[in-house]
Amino acid sequence: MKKLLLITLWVASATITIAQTTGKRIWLSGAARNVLFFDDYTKNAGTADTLTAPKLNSGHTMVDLAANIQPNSNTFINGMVRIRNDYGGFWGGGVTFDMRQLYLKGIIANTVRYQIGDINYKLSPYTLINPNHDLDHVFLDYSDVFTDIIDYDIFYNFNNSWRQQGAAVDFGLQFNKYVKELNFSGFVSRQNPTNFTNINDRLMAGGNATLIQGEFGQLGLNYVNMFDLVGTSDDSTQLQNPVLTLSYDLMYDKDDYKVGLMGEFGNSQTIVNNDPLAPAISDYFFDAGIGGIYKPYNIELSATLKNVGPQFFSPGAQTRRLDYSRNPLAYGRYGNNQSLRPIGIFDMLRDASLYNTTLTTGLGAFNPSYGNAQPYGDATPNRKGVIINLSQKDEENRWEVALTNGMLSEIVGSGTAELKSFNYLNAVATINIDEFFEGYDKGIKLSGSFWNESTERTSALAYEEINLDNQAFDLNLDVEVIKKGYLLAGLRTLTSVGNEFLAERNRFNEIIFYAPMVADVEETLFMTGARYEFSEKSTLSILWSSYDSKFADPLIENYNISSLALLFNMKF
Amino acid sequence: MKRIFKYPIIFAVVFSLVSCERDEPANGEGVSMSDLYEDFSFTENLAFSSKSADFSLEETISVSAKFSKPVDWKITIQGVESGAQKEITGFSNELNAENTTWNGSTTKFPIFRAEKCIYRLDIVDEILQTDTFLVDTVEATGTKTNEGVLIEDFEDEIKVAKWPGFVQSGADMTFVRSNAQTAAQGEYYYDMGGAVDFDFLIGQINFPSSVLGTPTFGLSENAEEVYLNMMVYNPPGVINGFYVIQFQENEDGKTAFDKFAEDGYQYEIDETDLTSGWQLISIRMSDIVMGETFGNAKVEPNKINFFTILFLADPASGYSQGFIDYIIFTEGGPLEP
Repeated sequence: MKKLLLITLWVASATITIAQTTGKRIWLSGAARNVLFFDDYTKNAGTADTLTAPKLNSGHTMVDLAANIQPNSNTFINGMVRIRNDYGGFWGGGVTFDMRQLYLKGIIANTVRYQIGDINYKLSPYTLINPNHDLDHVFLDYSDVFTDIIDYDIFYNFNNSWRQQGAAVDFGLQFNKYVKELNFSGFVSRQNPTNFTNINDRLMAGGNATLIQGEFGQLGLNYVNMFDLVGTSDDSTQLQNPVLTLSYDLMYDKDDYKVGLMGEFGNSQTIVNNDPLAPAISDYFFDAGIGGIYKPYNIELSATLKNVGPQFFSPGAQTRRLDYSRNPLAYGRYGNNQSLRPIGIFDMLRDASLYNTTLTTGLGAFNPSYGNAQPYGDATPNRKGVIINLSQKDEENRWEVALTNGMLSEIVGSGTAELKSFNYLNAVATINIDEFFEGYDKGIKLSGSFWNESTERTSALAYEEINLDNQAFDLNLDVEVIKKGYLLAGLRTLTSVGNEFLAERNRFNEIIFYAPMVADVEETLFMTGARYEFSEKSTLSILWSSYDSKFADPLIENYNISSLALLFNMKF
Repeated sequence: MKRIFKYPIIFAVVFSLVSCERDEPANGEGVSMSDLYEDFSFTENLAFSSKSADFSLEETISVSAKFSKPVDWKITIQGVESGAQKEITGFSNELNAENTTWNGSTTKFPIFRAEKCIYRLDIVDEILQTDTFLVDTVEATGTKTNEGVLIEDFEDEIKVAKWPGFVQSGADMTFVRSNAQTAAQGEYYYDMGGAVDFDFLIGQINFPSSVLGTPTFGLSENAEEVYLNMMVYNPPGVINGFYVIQFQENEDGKTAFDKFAEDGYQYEIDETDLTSGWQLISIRMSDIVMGETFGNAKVEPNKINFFTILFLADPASGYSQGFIDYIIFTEGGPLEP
């Protein structure tokens, strides 16, 4: 056995590698950005709005400056400072300096890699993962222009990981027979600090062991636990929320076919020690998939059978990005009633303050109009059913199409014996028109998507009935008119009609109320503009957009916001 | 090396078996939809256990009914003659003896008399925003008897006259038994009022146990369980007075109080802390904070042989007035009239 073991150093960071090869010990890197929004608000119909300012200009210029320090070949330190000047700030007024990032990483004894300070971490879809943006599967190209900024600002841009403060280690064993690798990783991070009176320090710790067989797949054991550190305040109650799962990805690749089994199963427990009112909660889930690729046509088909218990709670996997209980910064109140403006698809692209940056133990607020089938990602509790994916990609990169059909339902009813069903269809197509013309060296891309989701609950009792239909449509055109210079146009719409009930939960995640919700909404966002790519790391975009939000409810005022956005992004 | 493969498989099997437990309630998770959104109705009509009760004999009145869903309900019983009110509230889908029993007690003073009462049931469905109410009548044929050491209810003119006191020589002085307004209990109360521009003290009424023919008031020695209860009336707009209740303990066995050898202490009630109309003040004896004293510095109700109620006001504040009624010591809890 000893002969088989070969302890290897895993992938060291690219920055360290560069530093080693060049011999550089201290160097600077960072990013710069200028964003300007010129918004124009109008009320769509009825009495003129005499209270809301029709024009609103906002924006900022900022520079992130990172000092990269490599004191020795095994240690790397990164400290990043952000200097930001909001639109209107001048001669120091409105300028902020923040420590954006600070971490230290290195390798112990050429074996164990570690990072302390700011870390980005993810495990599996049911233990710890930062889910995709709401409607990410529907809204395509244009989202990226804006959401890239949000993702960068709040660290969503690291492969669906959550930015946390703590420490992480990993190391691997490599074998020369039967098993290729056995990798281990672990982390601990602080979720919220104590206030020294009635809030304890809350930590999250976990890890993963992955056995990679190589040719036939891999197995992973994942564990994560969010828990209170008793003694850090006067509060003697202690939350513990361990989640243990086993994930697998098995494959068989032969000739024209490649087939695989993939999935994850496990359970969670939610315990509050020293609280006589707290229920002991535990539940399980399974997510079993089968898929295959027919190589000659690049066709991929997969089906997933899932069952996630109503009391399966995994904060690391169920924390949403968008917190629907917040309100937009721009035109937060509007209309003659100065009502709070609900979050729309326009705000989802622009407003970083709407997004969570920390993990939460409760199931957060969401808008069923923006996706009701799996609002908490794969780990959405109380769901069972089948999801089928079919995709095909042209081998000459001329087109790519994908179709997803989900047929899900609740496992137990929400306050009733009757179950809700969730059926959705999502079609996405991208056509690289330029690839059809041999020798044409500028890009022309047309992409579109369609999403339909219906939620239904039938009952003999009228008040239990639910019928909510959501539809979204997205069409984008990118035309490269000069080398690296693009004209852009896009149209997206979202309609939601029907009714639902929003579950309100107590601190133990027990449902204490079902608030009725009636949706009759139509949102339209048209965008057009241009983008010039100075390099892969530097772009300038100018975009004009017109956003309409229409509600059938006469108590909610319809409005339009047209906006001119100037965006300059650079990384160095 | 084969063992490397065995462990995950064994683990997976065990893991699957351990994890596959789930409660799937037939009526779904969380609060019931029918409890929230079903229309309210009586599934069992309102019925009285009795339409009359002699509360002095510990008889009670309760109602029973069943509803289609849990709702907020409120029972209001109002004395036709006295105007006394009793309120009982709850949130349930059923009314029964456990949650509706009325033993003749009072929520809003004055205290019930032997009288006819209006019995009203209000049901509010907060979610569907509907109100329902039913009205009926019941009769109190006898009033509730309160356990404790009744010092004075001011009903007996002869007894009232036995209590010594002191009244300043101010203007409009009224330290008298009165029935000019509704009493908190019975017909009479004690009216203390006047304008004294040279001293804080307006007047006082003293309660020595000797008037009752006993050396003390016969209370428990445990100050934690003894309460002095008193009904106080604050005339509308008059908030410049305050009450001081001074207690004296007999610790040396002699008749005369020796303030340099025995415990004396007091409790203050400011009219600004009171609302208009009659209200009950209950003072737990152990809550009294002793000032300088020369006895054993311990509140011992069993040694109290004298207390006095002083009515005072700032001399510059003008006329002041307050009524008191139904002074009673209780043990084990405050008075529940």
